[in-house]
Formats: sequence, structure tokens, C-alpha cells
Amino acid sequence: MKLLNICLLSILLALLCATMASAHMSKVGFVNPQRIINESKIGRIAQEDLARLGKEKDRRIRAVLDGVELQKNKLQNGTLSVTEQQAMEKGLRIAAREYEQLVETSNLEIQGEERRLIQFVMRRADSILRAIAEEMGFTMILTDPEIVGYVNNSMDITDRVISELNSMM
Amino acid sequence: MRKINTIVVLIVSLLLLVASTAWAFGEIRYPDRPLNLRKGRSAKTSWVGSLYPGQKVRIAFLEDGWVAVFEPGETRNSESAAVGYSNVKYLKREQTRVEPKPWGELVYTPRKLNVRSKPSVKGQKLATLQVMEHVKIDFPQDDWTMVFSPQATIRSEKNAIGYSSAKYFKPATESSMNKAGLGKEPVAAEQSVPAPIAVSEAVEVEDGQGQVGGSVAPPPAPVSVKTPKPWGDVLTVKRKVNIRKGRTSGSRYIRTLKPGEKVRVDFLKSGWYAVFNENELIRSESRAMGYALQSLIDGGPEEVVIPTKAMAAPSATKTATPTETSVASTKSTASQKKTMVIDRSKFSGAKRADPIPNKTAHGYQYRIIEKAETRQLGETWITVKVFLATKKLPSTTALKDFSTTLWRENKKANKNLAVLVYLPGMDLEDLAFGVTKFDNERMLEFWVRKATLFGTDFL
Repeated sequence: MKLLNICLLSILLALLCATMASAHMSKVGFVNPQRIINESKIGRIAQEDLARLGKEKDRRIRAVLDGVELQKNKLQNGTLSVTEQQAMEKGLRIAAREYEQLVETSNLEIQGEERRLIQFVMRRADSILRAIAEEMGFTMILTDPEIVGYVNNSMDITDRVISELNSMM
Repeated sequence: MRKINTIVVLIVSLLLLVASTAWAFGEIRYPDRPLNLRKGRSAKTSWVGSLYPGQKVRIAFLEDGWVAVFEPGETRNSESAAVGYSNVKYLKREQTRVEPKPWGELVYTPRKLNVRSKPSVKGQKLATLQVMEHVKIDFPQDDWTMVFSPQATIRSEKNAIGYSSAKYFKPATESSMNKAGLGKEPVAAEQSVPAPIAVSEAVEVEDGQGQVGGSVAPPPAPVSVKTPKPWGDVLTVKRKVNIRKGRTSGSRYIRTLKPGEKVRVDFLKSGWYAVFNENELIRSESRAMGYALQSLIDGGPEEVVIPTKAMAAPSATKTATPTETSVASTKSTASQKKTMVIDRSKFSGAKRADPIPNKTAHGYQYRIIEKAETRQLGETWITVKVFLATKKLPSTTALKDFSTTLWRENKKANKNLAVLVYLPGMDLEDLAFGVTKFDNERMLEFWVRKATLFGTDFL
């Protein structure tokens, strides 16, 4: 009888330990930022914004390029005096330099804008991410798909973040 | 005798105590977002400057939630030494987001030059710059510019020494800095080739595309070097540290240093080290693996990163492709990975109330929130941030007309101007909705960011 009591007590203790251990286990979630940018409404709007900026830069570059071509054609006509030709050549050199500079600054501005817009979208997603993580009891959320070998669908909250983001619009 | 000794020791200790307290007044803080500096303790007082996220500053004299902001190395414990005032709630004890924003231009004067209290020869003479003296300049006003100490880190009008005529300054070069004794140490004690030039901080270049100046020939091999001088510091990394392509948290991620890994660090600038292989012999920034936050290398909290692949930029960048040399070069490769730090406090819901409009134009009530002059890519830009009180989303034409009116009212000769339009419900510290750029004669560009309307009644 005494032996039975000891056995029962041991089993109870083991069960208690197991429950405590499982309660302390970390729950890890996963979210894919690339999908948020590609699939959420706000992400797509941001991509359209970037495309619009690209077009605007393109329009400006074309206008400057047209000016350069115009000067080039005038110079090639060969009906100019020596002084006029020299002045025209100087003007063409300046215009060509301005064109190159514009292309370079446009490059930099588009890169910067892209970065700013991604950050803008991800900041919005981040607040939702935190709320979902707290609600679902995650202690950690992974965001880099390249370091994750396997993710159970129940742990991937990307769809939920996207739908929450979409519902805010 | 013993009594005298005790008194002397006591006096010395007291002096040391006084000296140390004088040095360490206030406390060091870091803004968690781009932060404006104001002339007084209110958002209504005029704008004097700005801080970038993560910029190290010293604060003191807290009153009504506002603090006086000082250079981090400031020793004068007086409000008169403050470079501006800011709301303390945006100044955190730890760096949560670091996005250094270079400002000003390092220049020198080939002649003696007066620094005055006003941008005019009528201004009181405050100081005289000596021949070849190097200073930083910013806040250009017509033919004059504000002059700062080359060590100044905070961009604020209140941090300036005074005004000087801009035409006498020449951009600092390596040789001018060497002449002035500010040049960098040569690579080795005896070298028959020129020392390598520290480069690459000018512009971030991705995959060798979209390059803008600043590129310098690769550093020469160490020829007839007798004893290379030790340079930088060899450190053992104590925690995981991310290496990035540029000196910003938003720059492209390169790799992660593991705890215990040894690296050489140097070229500390804006809180970021250039990181080299431990055995690197040549002190040239172009040979660096990348950049890492000083606070992470030296110790401090780990950086929170959320890597993401680049946004589907090709659609935008491809369109801006009139020629082979044009904007197409910004196209990101498929395998390229970008990393960024998410500022968790940014979207905490503590949005400021919309400002109250005080002017009217084109049937719109509006308020100019901020007007500032900056230098971007070698050009002077006047930036006008404006809040437009409207319940209906303004059309493109209306926005262009409105921006043009503001440009006419605020433009200055030979300066570009950008009008940034914010609508009700938007975060005025974040991206603007409408962006219109003008030069001296006409409108250059106009575009809107519809994404910024997220969370407002317009989307």
C-alpha cells in the first residue's frame, strides 16, 4: 500500500513537472515581409507610388535629353560661324553634363524613395504584428524566410497580418 | 604635517569632484525619430534645426516636458550653450533607430575671413577665420552662409559660430586638410606611393551601378614599406553584429559577425565603424567589409533587424529608362536582400493632433509647419512643409496650383524649392503626401504618395 502511494505521488510529480515545462516553452511565429509588400493593399499602393516617381523622373530625363539632342542637331547642321560653333559646343558640353548629373541624382532619389516606402509599410505592419503575437502567445516572430527551414502553417501569421492591414483601409 | 596632507588631499578631491560634475552635466539621449529643434520650449516657436534618428545628444534643463539640447561633448552647463529645445518624450536613453543624415559641407578659406552676427557686412564681427582654416557651412542665405565648427555634430542654427560670405569658401580637399594639419595618417611610416584615400562615404553604390562621383582608384600595394604603422583597433566581437553596406541601419545587409570573431575597426563616423579583416594591412575605407554600429561593437543592446527583399521596384525604375545610362541602373537584383530597422515607437498611436490652419490659398486653408534650407547632392533646397486642411482629396491640378503659389511666395534667387504637402490625419514627422519640386524658374517634378494616406479618411 505504501509502495502504491509512493508510485502515485511520483507520477503526479512527473506530470506536474511536464506541465510546467510545456508552459515555459517558447512559441515562435513567422511572418514574410516580402509577401506583405507584394500582397497587401498598402504594399501595392506603395509600389504604384514608386512607379509614379519613376515615370516622373523618366519624363524629366527625357525632356533634358531632348534639349541635348536639339543642340547636337544644330551643331551638326554646319551653318554656324566659328564663334557660334564654339559657343554651341560649350553649351552642349554643359547640357550633357547636366543630363548625366540628372540621371545620377534620379537613381539615388529612386533608391532612397524605395527604401522609405518599404519602411513606411513595414512600420504599419509591425504594429499589427505585435498585437497578433501577443494575442497568439508568441514570444518570438521570425521574419527572414532564408533562415527558416520549416514553418508549420499555424505558425505563419503573414496572411493574418496582410488581412489585418487590408481591413484598416 | 599629517593634518596639512589631509587638507591638501581633501581640496584636490573636491576640485576633482567639481571638475567632473562640470563635465558631466545633463545626460546623453538619442532621438527615436527625425526630431525638430525649436528656439524655445514649445512647438510653436521657430524651427532652428533637426536631429536624425539615433543622433547622440546631451540634454538638460527639463521644464514642462521640454529639454535644452546640447552637443554631446558640451561642457558649459548653461542654457546659452544649447543648440535648441526639443520634447523629451522623443529622446530615448538607448538608440532604437539609427539613420545618420550628413549635413553641411566641409570647406576652407584661402584668406582671412570675418564671421559676423548677421548675413551682412553690417553684422557685428564675432570671429576671424585664419588662412586655410577648415569649417563646416550650412543654412545658406543668399550670398552668405552659416559657419560651424568642423567638429559640430548637430545641425542647428543655434550651433553656428556666425555668418560669412559664401563666395570665399572652397570645398575641403585632402591636400587642404593635410596643409591644415587635419589630414589622415599615412598608411605606413615610409612609403614610396601616395597614401590611400579614404573613400566611399559619399554615395552608396549598389552592385557598381548608379555611381555618383567619389570613386577613387584602388589603394596602391604597399611598396617598399618598412614598418606599417598600426591602425584602427582590433576587437573581439562579444555579440552578433550585423555588417551593412553603408552607415545606416537601412543599408544593405552584408553579413553577421559572430561572438568571438576578431575584426579591425576604424573610420568612426556618425556612430558607425568601418569593419575590416583582422589582418588587413592597408588603411583604406574601400577595403572594409562594411560598417557596423559602434554601440554594438563596443557593447550595448543588440540591433533589431527585419530583413526583407527589395520592393518590386523594377516597374518604377524600368520606366525611367530613356537611355542605357539612365535610371534603369537602379534595378535591384533578384537575390539582393535589404534589411531595415523597424522603429516600433513610430506607429504607437501617439499621433499629434492636426495643426490649425492660419492661411488660405486656392480655396484651401493651410498652415506652413516648417521651412528649412538644406544642401542635397550639392544643391541648395528650401523645403516648405505645409498642412492642408481639407476633407476632400485634392486633385493633381489643384495640388500643383497650390504648390506653385507657395513656391512664388517662398522662392529665393538661385535656390530650388520643394513643397511637401500633408493632409489631415497624417503623421507630420513621416513622409509627405504631395511632393512638388521647383527650380528658380519652373516646376521640375510633381508626384504623390498615396500610401501615406493609410490610416486617414482619404484611403
